[in-house]
Parts: sequence; C-alpha cells; structure tokens
Amino acid sequence: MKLGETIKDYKVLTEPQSAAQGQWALASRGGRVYFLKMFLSPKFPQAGGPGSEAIKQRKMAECAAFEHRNRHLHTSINSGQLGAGNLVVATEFFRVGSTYYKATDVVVGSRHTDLTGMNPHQALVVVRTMLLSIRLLHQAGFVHGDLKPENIVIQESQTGLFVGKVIDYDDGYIVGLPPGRDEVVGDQRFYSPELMMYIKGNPHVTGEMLTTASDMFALGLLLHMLFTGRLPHFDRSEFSWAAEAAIRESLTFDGVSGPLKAWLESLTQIDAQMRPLIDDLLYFFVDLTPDELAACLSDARSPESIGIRPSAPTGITNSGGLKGTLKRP
Amino acid sequence: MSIYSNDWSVGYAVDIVFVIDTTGSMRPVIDNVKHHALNLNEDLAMVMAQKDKTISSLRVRVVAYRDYLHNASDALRESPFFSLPAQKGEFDHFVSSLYPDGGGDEPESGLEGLAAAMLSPWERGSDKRRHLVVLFTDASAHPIERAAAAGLLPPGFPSNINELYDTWEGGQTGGMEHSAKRLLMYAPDCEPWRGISDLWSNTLHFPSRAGDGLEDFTFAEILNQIASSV
Repeated sequence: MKLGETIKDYKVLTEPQSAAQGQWALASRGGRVYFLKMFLSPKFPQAGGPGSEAIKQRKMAECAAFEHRNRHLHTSINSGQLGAGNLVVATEFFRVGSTYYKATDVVVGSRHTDLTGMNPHQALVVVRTMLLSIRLLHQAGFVHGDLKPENIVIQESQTGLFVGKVIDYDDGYIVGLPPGRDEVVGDQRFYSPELMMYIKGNPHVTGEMLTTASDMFALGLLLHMLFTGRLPHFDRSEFSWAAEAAIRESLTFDGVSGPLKAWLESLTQIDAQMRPLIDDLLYFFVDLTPDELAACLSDARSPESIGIRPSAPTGITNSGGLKGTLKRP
Repeated sequence: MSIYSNDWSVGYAVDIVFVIDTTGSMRPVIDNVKHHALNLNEDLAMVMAQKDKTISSLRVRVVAYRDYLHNASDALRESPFFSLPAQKGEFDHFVSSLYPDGGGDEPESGLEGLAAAMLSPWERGSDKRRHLVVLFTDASAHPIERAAAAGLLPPGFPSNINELYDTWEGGQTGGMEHSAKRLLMYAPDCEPWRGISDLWSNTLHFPSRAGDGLEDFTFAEILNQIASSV
C-alpha cells in the first residue's frame, strides 16, 4: 500500500502506518473517507506466481479459512442492535490480486485517550458504549482477542459527550476455536492466564478453554487503565505481564476502590469460569451512578460512606444475561 | 489453580537478520548501521518500551552480500547470531568490518542474501518468537537461477524463485516459522522487491529511489518499523 495508490476504488490519502499484522491508511472512495487496512497475511496464490503446488494448495486453504472467518464475523453481528453503531465493523472486506483489505468508517478520536480527564458522567457513557459493543461480539460468539486502550477510540459524539468505539477485532476468533498457539496475536499486556498458558503449550489448556472469559480478563485490566491511565500494580521485577501476576495473586487494583475494585478483581480472577459475563459487567455500569463512580476513583471517600459494598461483588454469575431491561446509557 | 502452578512466565524471543547490500553505493547505509550497532539493544529496547512491548531475548545476525556473478569469492559474508546485549562487542566488531565495495553491474545478489537469511538457525524454543529479516539495498537483484546455474551457490540454497518462495512460505527447507516471520525491505520500487512485496506473506516494502543509497530513511524510522513488527 502506497500513498496515492488506488486499490480497487479506494485512493490512498495518507502515508500508510505499519503494525505487526498489517498496514493502514486513510483512503477515499466516492467522496467518502475510510480507514483502509491491508493484511500482511495470508496472501492468495496467483496463477503463474511462484511456489510449488503443495505450498499453493496450503495457502489456498489458509485463505479460505481467513475469508470464512472474516465474512462469518461480519454477518454474525446484529447491526440493528443497541450499541452496534459503536462497534466499528468492516464496510467492505475484499481481495485485490494476492492481498486482502478491509475498509471501515473513519473513527476520529477525541483528545481523550483514556477517562482520566473526564467527569464521571462522561466516563460512564464511554464505558457503557464500549461494553455494549463488546457485548455484540460476545453475543455473536466471538472473542475480540485484542482488547487494549489502542483499540478503544474515544470519540466525541456531541458536545461534551463521548462514546467508546471498539475497533480492530480482525484477530478475533470464534469461542473455543482460537488460532494455533503459534498463530495467536494480541498484546501480552492484556493476555489472560489461560491464553498465556495456551501459548506456552500447557497440556491442560486447550483451545476450547479460550472463550469470552479471556476478553473479560483483558477488560479488567483495560478498565483500570482507562480509569487511571495505567495498569493495576504488580512487581515488574518479578512479573513481565499482568497475567503472570494474576496467577500468583499479586495483581493490585490500587487506582480504584469500592465496588469498582471488586468488579475488576472479579474480572481478573484466574478461574475463567468464575469471571463475570459481559452482561453482568454492563449491568453494573448501567446501575452505577456518576457519584458512585467518583467515590470509587477517589481515596478521599470510602465506599461505605456512600453505601456501596466494598468487598467482592456478590451475586456475580456467569450463567445468565441481564434480568431486567437494559437501560439506554 | 494447579494448571498454573509451575513455569508460568511467557518468553518472547526475537531474532533479527540484517541483510545488507555492501556494494559500492551503499556506503551511507553501512556507515549508519555501523554507527548504531553498538547501541542497537538499548535503542530498540527504548522504542519497544515506548510501544509498551518487551522481549525476553534478542539475537541479531548480519548477512552481507554483493554480486555472485561479478565476484563469487566475496559475494556473501555471514555472521553467526549474536545475543544482545551479552555479545554486543562481537556484533559491533563484525559490523565494523563491513565496507562498501564492488558489485559490478546494477543488479546484485539480493535474492541470495535473502535466501541466506531465511536459512538462519532461527530460535525455535521460546514461547513466542519473531523471526525478522530486514533488507537494505539500493539495487534490483539478479534472478537466483543465474548464480545457481553457474554452480556458485552454497549447498542447500534454493536454486530458483519457486524454491525461494517455498522457503519463505514454509516449505520443507524453510527454518522460519510461518506466523513468526516478517520481512522488511528497504529497497527500490522495482523487481524483484515489488513482486515479493505483492506475493509473499508478512512482507513490507519501503521503497527508496534506486541509486540513492536509502538516504530517505533515518535509523530511527527503521528502528520504529522493527519495533512495530515485533
């Protein structure tokens, strides 16, 4: 992908930026501007192109699986559902020659990259809209697989009001069907313990054990980072990643308190089956008032003083959805 | 929980092979690499830290090439892998010994250099790995078939473009892991680099103007691309 190049009917407008899995740039088509992502892999073998027949056949199979996963993902998401507008879905997924591309609407981030500069009401709206989008993915049976601050774009939707846009789930996978352990991508900072063990080839951790609970672990870390600007505390001299610290029960959510702290601890417990589901977490944030959130983010006020339970949340289950009607944020 | 009781840390090993055209016109790039070799580990760690990435082991290797068809005796020079920072003195010593010279006609033996890089003894043991090849050239490349037909290539080298492609894409001769491999090419916008960028997976091409000695790129930009690829 090059500046000025036309790919299909998209004209590349900006110098492409590189990442581990691809390149992206702004591109225009029919008077509209899109994000255009070029995938580095797989590459579709070309007639007359180099390579043995065996390798070409293997690559064809790889491409077929890649196309199936992408198309299945984008047809599985109910775009009419509440919150769908904040999940940044592909407007087009296509191949030109050997190379695959994905176009999405442009998401313009605000000056906020986290919630630290927002008032509690604004922060709650961002979190709720973000969780609604992740809920759509989970309801479609997909694990995002790469939840991190860089993949949550905080966009100003109207003056003084912001939403959390969820992007870049190209490396997501169907629940229980992750890529091979050597193929897993994502950001180690937000790996769940079971994902880490899967990558290590721990014989007790199979692909079937990688579910939306892995995203929920990442969400526990991500929410702490969004609210405080940093990961929860762990001894960096002893542990490289939060998941390692979680396994040794050495992860401390020192930037928050009260029920918020209890929920983040619950999200990051090492037993994946005990972690809350996305509906549970969303319900918590729907019910949480700006004043209660402010109390959780301030050491000055104890949670007890505003009647919020300070201990681990009770009644968190991973077996059911919202029992009441979801309130629109 | 018992399944997490032992050996719970995840290692991330990064191997980088710098494939450097050391023909006459490449002096600026060679000087640049020499200038930064000694502090490569620290510089890369700093850029990685800015991207919130850490690696548990870093090894680097150099493949220097000229032109088999011009002078086969000095067409290829390879270092072993050096573990950084432990062997940074040896790495620096090897890089310091590189000098621009020769090359003959404009196409050089870039594909042979690439083949030598692919056949490196890559790390296979760590939990996560990145096998990264970074190529620097200001020239196009001879078809690999020419040096092969003349019997000039070392044993085990791919002898045609199909075998070279298979080596990259994971044929039986390839030592690179499919998901771990990346190729960054700082090379002119001409063949074979354009075709490789188009047809080979996990490959990025940063075109330079042929004959300009890659002066368009600063080492900081290159380090940033390396860190983005890791």
